[in-house]
Amino acid sequence: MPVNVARRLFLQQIAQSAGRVPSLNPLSFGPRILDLSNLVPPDQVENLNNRTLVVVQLSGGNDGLNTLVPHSQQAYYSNRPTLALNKSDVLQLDGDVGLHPNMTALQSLFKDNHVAVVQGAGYPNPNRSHYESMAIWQTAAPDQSYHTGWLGRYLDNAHSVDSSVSAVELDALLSPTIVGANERAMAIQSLQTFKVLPLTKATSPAVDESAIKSLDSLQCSSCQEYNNLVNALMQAGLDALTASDIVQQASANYQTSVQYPKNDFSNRLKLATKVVTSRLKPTIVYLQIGGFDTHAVQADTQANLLKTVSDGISAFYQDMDSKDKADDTLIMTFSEFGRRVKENGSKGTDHGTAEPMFLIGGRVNGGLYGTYPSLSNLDSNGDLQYTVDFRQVYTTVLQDWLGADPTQILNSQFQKLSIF
Amino acid sequence: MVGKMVDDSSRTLFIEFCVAEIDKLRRNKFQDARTEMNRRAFLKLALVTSAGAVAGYYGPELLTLANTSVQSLAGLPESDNSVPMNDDWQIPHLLRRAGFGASPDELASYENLGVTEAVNNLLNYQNIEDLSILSQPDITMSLEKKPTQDEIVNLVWWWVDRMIQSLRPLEERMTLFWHNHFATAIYKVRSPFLMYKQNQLLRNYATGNFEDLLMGITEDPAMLIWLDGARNRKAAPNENYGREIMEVFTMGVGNYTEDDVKAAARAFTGYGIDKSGNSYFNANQHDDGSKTFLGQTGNFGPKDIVNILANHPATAKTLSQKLFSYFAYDNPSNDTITRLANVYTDSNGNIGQVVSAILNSDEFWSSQSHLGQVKSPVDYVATAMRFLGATVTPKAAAYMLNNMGQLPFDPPSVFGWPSGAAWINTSTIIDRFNFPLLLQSDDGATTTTLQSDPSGDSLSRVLFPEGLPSDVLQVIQNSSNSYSDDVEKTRNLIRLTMSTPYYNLN
Repeated sequence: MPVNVARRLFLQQIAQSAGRVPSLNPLSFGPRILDLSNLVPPDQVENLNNRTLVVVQLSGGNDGLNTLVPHSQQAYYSNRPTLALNKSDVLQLDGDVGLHPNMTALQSLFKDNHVAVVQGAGYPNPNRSHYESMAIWQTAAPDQSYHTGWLGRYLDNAHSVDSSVSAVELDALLSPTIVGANERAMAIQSLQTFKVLPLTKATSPAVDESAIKSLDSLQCSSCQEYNNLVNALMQAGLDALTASDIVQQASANYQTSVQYPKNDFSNRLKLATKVVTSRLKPTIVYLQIGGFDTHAVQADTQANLLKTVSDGISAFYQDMDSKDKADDTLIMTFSEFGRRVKENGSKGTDHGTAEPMFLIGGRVNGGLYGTYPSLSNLDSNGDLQYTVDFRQVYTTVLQDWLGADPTQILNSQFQKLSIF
Repeated sequence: MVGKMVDDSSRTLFIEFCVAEIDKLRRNKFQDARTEMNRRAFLKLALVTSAGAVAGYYGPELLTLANTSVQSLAGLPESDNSVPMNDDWQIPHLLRRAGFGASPDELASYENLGVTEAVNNLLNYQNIEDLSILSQPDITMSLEKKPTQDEIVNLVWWWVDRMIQSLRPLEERMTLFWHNHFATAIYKVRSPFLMYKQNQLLRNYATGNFEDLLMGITEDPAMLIWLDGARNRKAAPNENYGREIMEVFTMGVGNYTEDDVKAAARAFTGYGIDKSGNSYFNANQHDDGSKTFLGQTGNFGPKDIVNILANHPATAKTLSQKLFSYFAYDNPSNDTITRLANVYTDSNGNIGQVVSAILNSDEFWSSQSHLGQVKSPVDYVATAMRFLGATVTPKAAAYMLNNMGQLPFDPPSVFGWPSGAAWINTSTIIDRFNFPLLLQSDDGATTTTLQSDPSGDSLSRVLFPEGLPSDVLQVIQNSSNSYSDDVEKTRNLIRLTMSTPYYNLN
């Protein structure tokens, strides 16, 4: 991975205006103190596109049938003797479908027209392996024509015109979705761990500060690049040293009146607010929540997960709204597949195909999109037949939300949805 | 990540925890954690001195073991110079890949053996009496109790400590390989006891026959929970294990159909787990009807499916590829894979022979292989302690491994952990900058080294035997000189060395 000098310069610049003086050690890696022409002038930072896309990956294969419940289709009840939700318990969206009873927060946003629900999202020749199908959604390439992530390719393209575009994943490791050929997201697992600790704490803070600065120089000391792994390590180190200062400072200034639920998912959404309102201004924030692979005793597990997702996203949206950023925020959820229509013998469900996607934001035209797949016209494996190609949703997001050219990223044209 | 052991509250406490640990270290001024370090010191002694010299210090049982170890490890004539050791990267390379690094004394012992014998010694570890068999994790050895986070920490530490202490490092390397291959996580299994039992299974079969291991893991209680095998009933089969055994554990995708998944699921029906945590097979819940699987038809049960899969040519290739990537580098040539797959097939699936072929291959000893990997979090943590003869508290080890993305016993999914550059990002690199601050040393030996070598070159060479570039060393030296206290100087030197891109290579 080539060292992205432009972004590093940009980060340095904003770090400098944020109070941190980067060390210009003579041993430093050459290019980082050269070519200042690539920099976005600080006074223009505010004028950049302020929109953020927050992608929430539901890992494990979320059971779409018990998320967006097709209660008007009798086959739903005959296929799910123990798992079917009663029509009277379902949170109605229209006469035919409704949300899981635990998704009241999302239903409330839906009523305010802030939620677009895409029904029956999938792709041709569905793959039922977690790994393969997740890779298909992450690369947006069922034919394996790409091995980079679709948002990684967005970053690659966006960087060629605007080096300030950045992405952040709130986890220890990055999803393939936001790793491109040249660009990759930054990772922040938690606020608490995103901080370089001093060696001695109180006794010699000045010496410690200088020792931490030499961490910076270490990432640049040897111009002789040993191999591409050294390069990746250097880049991560430099970005981390700068970004951690920025995020810690933003966190210190952060205030909210919104009550986030007390769980790890919501903690990370709260961190997302801090990161989005920091000077990093990421265009993409990515996070995932796991546990959806409900082969056995599904009901309680999925109910808790859906409540966590619905309440967390709602709190995040309200927080962004309170900062007048609802119109700059779009949240999109997906999973690698839905689950089989017929429940198995363990009060669970096996791997399936099409699923609902949710898009939440101030500029979203709320409502239902696409048609719900028929439960009586299944494929040869007993699974739903998709009605909307998920790449139609990606196309819509890329073009109408991020202002990018979808054909450059998806390699072919897909019909947009009128979500915006 | 699909699951997380460490919950919010623990994360929030993390920084406070680290700062407190560092404070404690400062107060102790690196004073000995003698109890912790005894076995470590013993290991060094066992490797480099005659066993008699430690008789007064250690008990008779240990002495017996020490005698055996020293004899088996140093069983060759001391003057064995059959392989000249002019290249000083070979033994460090071997021990980083086939083990978890080595102290200068250990390195010297292996250097004395020569490369060929060093490889044989690592491979034939059954001949070396393992001192770490004396230790067991501090967990409840039954299914009774709801596990505490402390128990998970203890289980993790038990294994990491083995990686640091073991005289049979390849055994731990291979156990880690299988843990990643048959990736099973405590976030679903819940029981540290069952995870421990699975770890013992993986260790027992680590370099043995693959079919035996595959049958063992098929009936392993933790696996039966992890992939729902214990819920797989004749009346309504659960496909989870039937799918993953083909996709992840053996042939890989592209070699089977959805119908094969369904047939395998039926063949694996009938397993359960009793209250003591043992698995059983209930014939009443087993579907003994006819199945067609990979083109063969019969009344297949678990052993039949395992037999077909373990002996499938695609399995030979997939396992060879995975083992080669683990020890050498990614994307080997087709010729290399074919050669290794033939070793697998000709030996009826003997894993030790495949590993031997890899460690003795030209590819393993090539420049493409040398330092061509990124240290995984487990490598980063375990090698630091093994190289330096240092330790950390169990909690510090578990928390930091979790933050770096590789908590043993808790892989993210059945696909195991990522590898290579995927370990490195802005979040994990900060954990790597911070981890060295939690290291504790035993006896000030490192400080002494520093006093005799103020440039820090010797100490940094302990961690990176190939030697850091001089400009990097200069930055480290300049920084450490601004600390007046020798201990702080040392700690800064270690921290900065471990924060270089070079140390993070493997």
